[in-house]
Amino acid sequence: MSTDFDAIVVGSGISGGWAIKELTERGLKVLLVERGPNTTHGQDYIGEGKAPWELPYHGSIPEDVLNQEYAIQQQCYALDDATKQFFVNDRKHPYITKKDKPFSWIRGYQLGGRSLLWYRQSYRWSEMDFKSNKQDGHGVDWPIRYKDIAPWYDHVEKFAGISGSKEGLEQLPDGQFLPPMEMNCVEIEVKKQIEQQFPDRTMIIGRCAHLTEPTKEHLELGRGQCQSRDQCERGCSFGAYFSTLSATLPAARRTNNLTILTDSIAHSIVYDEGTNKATGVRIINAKTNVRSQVNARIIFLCASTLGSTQIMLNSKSERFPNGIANSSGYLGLNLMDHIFESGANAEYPGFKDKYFKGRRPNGIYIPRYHNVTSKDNRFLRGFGFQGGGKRPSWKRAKTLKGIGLDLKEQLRHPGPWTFSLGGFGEMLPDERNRVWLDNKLKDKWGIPILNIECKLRENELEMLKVMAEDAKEMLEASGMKNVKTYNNSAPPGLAIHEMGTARMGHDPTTSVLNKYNQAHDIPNLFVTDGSCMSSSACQNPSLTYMALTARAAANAVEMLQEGRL
Amino acid sequence: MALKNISILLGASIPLAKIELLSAAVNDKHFAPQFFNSDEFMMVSNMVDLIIPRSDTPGALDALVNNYIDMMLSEWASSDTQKKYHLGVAKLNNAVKKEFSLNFNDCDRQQQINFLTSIDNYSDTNTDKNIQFFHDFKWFVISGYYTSKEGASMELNYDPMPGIYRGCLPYTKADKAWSA
Repeated sequence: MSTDFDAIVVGSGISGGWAIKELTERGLKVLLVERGPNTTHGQDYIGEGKAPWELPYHGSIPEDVLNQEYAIQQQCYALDDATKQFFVNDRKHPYITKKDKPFSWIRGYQLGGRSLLWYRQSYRWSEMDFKSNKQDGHGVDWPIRYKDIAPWYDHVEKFAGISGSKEGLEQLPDGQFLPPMEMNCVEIEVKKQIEQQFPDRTMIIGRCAHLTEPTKEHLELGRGQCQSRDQCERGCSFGAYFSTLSATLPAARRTNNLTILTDSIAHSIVYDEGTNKATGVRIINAKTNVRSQVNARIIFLCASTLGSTQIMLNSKSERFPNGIANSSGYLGLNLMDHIFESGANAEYPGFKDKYFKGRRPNGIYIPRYHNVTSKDNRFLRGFGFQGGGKRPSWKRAKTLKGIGLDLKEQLRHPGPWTFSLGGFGEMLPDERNRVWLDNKLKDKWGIPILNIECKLRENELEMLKVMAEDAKEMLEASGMKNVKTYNNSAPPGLAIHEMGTARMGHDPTTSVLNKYNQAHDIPNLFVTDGSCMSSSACQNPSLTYMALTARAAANAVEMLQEGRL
Repeated sequence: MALKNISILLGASIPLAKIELLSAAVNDKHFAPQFFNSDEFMMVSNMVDLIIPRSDTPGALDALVNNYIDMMLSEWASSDTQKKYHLGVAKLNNAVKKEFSLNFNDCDRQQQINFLTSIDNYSDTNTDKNIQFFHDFKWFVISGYYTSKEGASMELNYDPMPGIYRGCLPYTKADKAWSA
C-alpha cells in the first residue's frame, strides 16, 4: 500500500467520520487511521434485536468481569453484555487521576468509535454561546460566531437526519429537521403547565439524530426509518440513527478515495521543521506492535478530545518540546465536560386510561433560560433539562411490597405515569482542569499515559443546586405528586462530553487552533473533535463537532487547492 | 428431586395450553443445581414459586427462574455475592426454624407465605440482614421472571419492533404492560 495520501484522518468517531466524508467528496485521497478493530455495519451488531432471554445472563455482565475489566466504563448507562464489545477494557487502557478528583473517561475503540454509542441528542449552539467567553471573561473569545457555523449546521443536519420541532427560540436555533417524535400525554400536559406558569421557559421534544422520515439521500446510503426499539447502542442495521458506520463511512467509501487502516494506533505526528509542516503519522499496529509511518499533505486529528490531545502532547520535536503546535502552552488545559446528575423525579396522578406504544429513543428538552434575557446573580451561564414522562412496567417492583398472585396481578399493568427532569449544565473553562503525559508510566504500546485532573468548582456546584430546585419547582407546578430531588454530582467525564484541551482562539499565544480548526503553529494540521472547543455551552456537543469538522474540511481543501498549504 | 409445596403439584386447574409448560417444569426435576445443595435449591424453588406463582399464565417456576438463579449464582456472581446467597438462604431458614420449629421446606404453604410476607413488609432501612437479603432475592426472582420468555412475552407484552412511537393511546385494565 502506498503511504502517500492527500490527507490522513486519525479517528473514526463522529468527527473523523465527517472528516473522511467531506475530504473524499472533495476529491482528496484520504487515509483513515483507527486504533480499534474493523467493525462492519449490521454484521457486528451482535446484540441487535435480541430479547433479554436470548442474551447470556439476560444481558447482564458477570460481576467479576464488570469490576475487573470495566471498572470505569460500567458507570455508563449503555454498557451491558450486548454492547460491551464497543467499550474499552479499562484494565488495558489505563489513565491516572488523583483519588479526590475522579474523572470518568468513557471510550469506544473500534471503527465508528463512540458514534455507535452516543445518545444522539443534537442541538445547535446560539450566538449567546459563542459570545459568552468574551462577555464574562472566562476562557478565550471564540474566533467564530453563530453566522460562521449556521450554514454548516444546515449541511450536517440534512445529511445526518435530525428529528425535531421548529420553535423559533433565540437560545436554541431551529435547524433542518425531519418530523419530530411524539410527546406522550403527560409530556404534553407538563409542557402546557410549565409554559403557562414560567413564561421564560419552553419544553420541546428532544432533537435527535434519528430518521423519522428518511429522505432520498438517506435511503441511497441504505438507511431506513427508526423502529422505536431503543437499543441503539447495540448498533442498528436500519441505519436509523446517525453513526459513522451508517452514514459518513458509506458516503466516503463510494467516492473510492478512502483507504482504511484499522488496529493502528497513532503514536505521534511527524513534524518537519524545514517546511514547518506536519508530514505524517507514526503508527503502531495494535496487534503486532509493528511500527510504521504514513505521510500526507494535511492531517486531521479526530481521535476524540483526550485522544487527540494525547497524540499531540506525545509529538515532541526541538521546536515543540511540549507537544506539537503547543507554542502557546495551552495544549491539555481547560478540560470541560457537562455537569449533570441533578434534577427531580415525580409521579403524575392522572392519565390512568392512557398508555404508549414503542420505546422512543429520545426524551424532552427544556432549553436554557437562566442568563438568557435577564441576569441570574447566583451563577454564570446556564443549563438545560432533559427528561420525559414514562409509565413504568415491572421494574417498579423494586419498591413494591407483596408476593404471590397480588404482586403478579399488580405488575401485569403499568404503574402510574412518572416524570423526570435532569439538568445538563455548562462548565466554565478553567486552566486548572487539565491533562498531561505521565513521565514514567506507559501503556502496552509504549505510549505515555494521561494524567487527568478535573473538578467542578464554585460556579458548577451552585448551578447543580439550582438545577434540582428548578426541577422540583416545575414538577410541583405541573401537578406532580411525590416530587423527589437528587443532586449526585457525577464525576466529570461521565456526561461523555469532554472537550476543550486544544482550544480555538484568535490569539496564537493563548490558544492552539484558529477559527478554521487549523493549528496556529502548523498550517497543515487540523483538529476538529471536542478538543477544539473554547467553551462548553450546555447543549450536547456532537452536532457542533460535525459542523466544525465539515467547515474545517471544506476550508482545508480550498487552501490546499489554492496552494496555501 | 421432589419439590414440596409447589403450586404446580397441588392440582390447581391448569389451562390446556399450559400443559406443555407444566411438563417442562416437571421434567426439569432432572436439573442438577451447580450452586445450591438440594435442600437449599428446594427452598429457593419454593420461594421462587411463592413470589410469582402460576395463574392463567406461567409462573416463575414454569419459567425455570429457580434454575436461572442457580446458574447466575454459579456463573455470573462474584464470590462476595455467592457468599451472600449461601449465607442468606441459611439464615432465612434459621429464622423460620425459630418461628415454626421446622425447616422452611417442611412448613406448610400458608406458613411459608406468612413468613415471607412478614419479612417482605419490613422496609430495607431495617438492620435485619434477613430483610435485606429477602428483598434482594425477591428482586432476583422478579427480574429473572420478567426477562424470561414466559414473563416478558406471555405474562406481559413484548414488542421487538414497535415501529413509530405513539405517546398517548387508550388503555384499559384488560391491557397488559409492556415488558420492555
